[in-house]
Amino acid sequence: VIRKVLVANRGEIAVRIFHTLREMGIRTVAAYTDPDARALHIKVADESHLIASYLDADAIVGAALTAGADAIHPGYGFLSESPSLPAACEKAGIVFIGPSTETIRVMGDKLESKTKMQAAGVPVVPVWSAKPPSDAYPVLIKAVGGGGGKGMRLVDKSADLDSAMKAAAREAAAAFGDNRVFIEKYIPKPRHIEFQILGDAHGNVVHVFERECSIQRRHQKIIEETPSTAMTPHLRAAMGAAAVTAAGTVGYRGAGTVEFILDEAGRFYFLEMNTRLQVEHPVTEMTTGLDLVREQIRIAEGEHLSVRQEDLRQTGHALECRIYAEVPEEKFRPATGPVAVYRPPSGPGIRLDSGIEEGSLIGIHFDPILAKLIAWAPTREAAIQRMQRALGEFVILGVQNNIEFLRRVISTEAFAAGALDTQFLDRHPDVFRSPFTQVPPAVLLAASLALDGAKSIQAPMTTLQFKDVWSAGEWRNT
Amino acid sequence: VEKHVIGRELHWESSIGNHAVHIEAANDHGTISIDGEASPFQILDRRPHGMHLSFGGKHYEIYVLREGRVCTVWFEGAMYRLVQSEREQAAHTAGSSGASEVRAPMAGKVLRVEVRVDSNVAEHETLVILESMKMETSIQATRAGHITELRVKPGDVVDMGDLLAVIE
Repeated sequence: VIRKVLVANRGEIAVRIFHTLREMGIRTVAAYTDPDARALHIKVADESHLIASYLDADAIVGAALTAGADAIHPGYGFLSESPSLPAACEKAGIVFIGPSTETIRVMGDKLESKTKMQAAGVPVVPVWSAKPPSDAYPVLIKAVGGGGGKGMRLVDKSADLDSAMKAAAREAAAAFGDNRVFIEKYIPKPRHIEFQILGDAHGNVVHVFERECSIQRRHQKIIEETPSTAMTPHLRAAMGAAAVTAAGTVGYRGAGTVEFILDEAGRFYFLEMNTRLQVEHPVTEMTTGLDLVREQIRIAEGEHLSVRQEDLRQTGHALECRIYAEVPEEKFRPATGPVAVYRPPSGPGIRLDSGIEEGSLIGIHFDPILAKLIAWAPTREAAIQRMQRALGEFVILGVQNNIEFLRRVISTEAFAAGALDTQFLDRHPDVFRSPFTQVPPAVLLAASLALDGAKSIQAPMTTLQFKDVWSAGEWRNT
Repeated sequence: VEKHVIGRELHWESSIGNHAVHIEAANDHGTISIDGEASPFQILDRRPHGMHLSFGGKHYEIYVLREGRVCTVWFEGAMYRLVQSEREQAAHTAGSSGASEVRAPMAGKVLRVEVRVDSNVAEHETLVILESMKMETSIQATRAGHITELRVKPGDVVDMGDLLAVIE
């Protein structure tokens, strides 16, 4: 039985995992690095320990031992898909909440995993380790060591292959410490469809339906949903069975995700398996009632899955928007700054997994994800309307963000029609422009009043507001 | 209750248009004239960075972050970036006979006041120390001159944009 868990992560995912741990009566331990000394995830945990880096497996296991934690949850990103953390856990006698070291290693090798899946009868995209046949173009170069678009290159003709391979290898080496790349057949207008998997230590594997993650920027997802508008009961059964086969082949234990691409003709191909909790897992939770973190912990405790395949049902529709500190209009440039105003939306069907609060400082050290806004409703149309409403109410001032952009994307006719693929944003350049051509009079009024700096007409302020103190001159800690 | 009166001539620039604004207000009632068209308004509530306004027959919840001459405004789910034009600033300085106002760049508590009224200061000399977010910020003289007004004392809580001192 697990009594105390260290979460080797930060931001919204650490906070979200702590929520379930607290519900289960499990003590919580945060790990943090210097720039995160005032981060929200520390405040949510029962105790916190300073570590050198979120990428330092020995430091994380050391902190867990110091805290007396009996398990480590890796979250996503950082060391969640590195065999080094479960290996260090094993040595220290600490439970790693995730699959075995060997599963992580096999699935982490994007080439070996494809070979294994092909042998198990799961359809895979044709791949080559060197020069593909001339009729194979266009092709995609990908990193062996990891995903997320890093080390990825689209190549139209064989003449460009060499230089693209070299550039991709450099990028892969920098991102994953592994310069190996491979070549994959390019599927035009693909949809990105993934299946949530749960496997226990007793050989039971179920799939918890699909998530569509086709709306991407720079090969990273920004909007996800379930069910997919591309899905039919027949296709869902076929892809779900393939996902279960994929997980079963490696004796998968824990929560994982099998990613597929779906072409325009409705053919699907195994892409990769993510051996961890996925960023977009809340849409699955909202439509099935499952708590995937709770399932992860139960599985790590050696229990049987709490559900059988035939018990699982999807109800309604859920959408997730990733709130990033970035400027979509400027090629998604990351933004930094203090969160001076933070007014999150709420109301029926709204879930917000947030790693920030008013006063948080968004720095340059980490991924620019701030929060995830999830909307559930009985139908897709109602879920979109609910998401539009919630995004329209969400105020973050002080750090530039993509809230307005996300609302424009989900408000397009193409999105409403469910005509999605991974090049959606390229084909809809209008979403990068504000539809407003005039400054509303109320905006001029508000700005003019703010400039005057008139006193509050209410009672005097009891709390200090936060401003960009870093640009205001000299400062020091008191 | 002290009566708070304002009257200002402003020029705002943005990527979607420039506007001349005249604003007059006494406490929570006022009139704004935008490019010559006047409308009454009422401030229903005002908080740090946020205000609830009655304007043109509707109520609006608006958030504003001011950083120097730049105002970032959240209005009905959209963001607007407005810049107070140089033209206006020059006119404003001329109108106040060469005096420079030193305003709080952020909200905070006045920890120390380093100068006295009627004293002379050098450019960049520290006038006031503000504390915000557990950090001290020194507010410096924007120019060399003579301190004619000092509006704060230690312990005061100031809002962003509040007048701290006047240098002539």
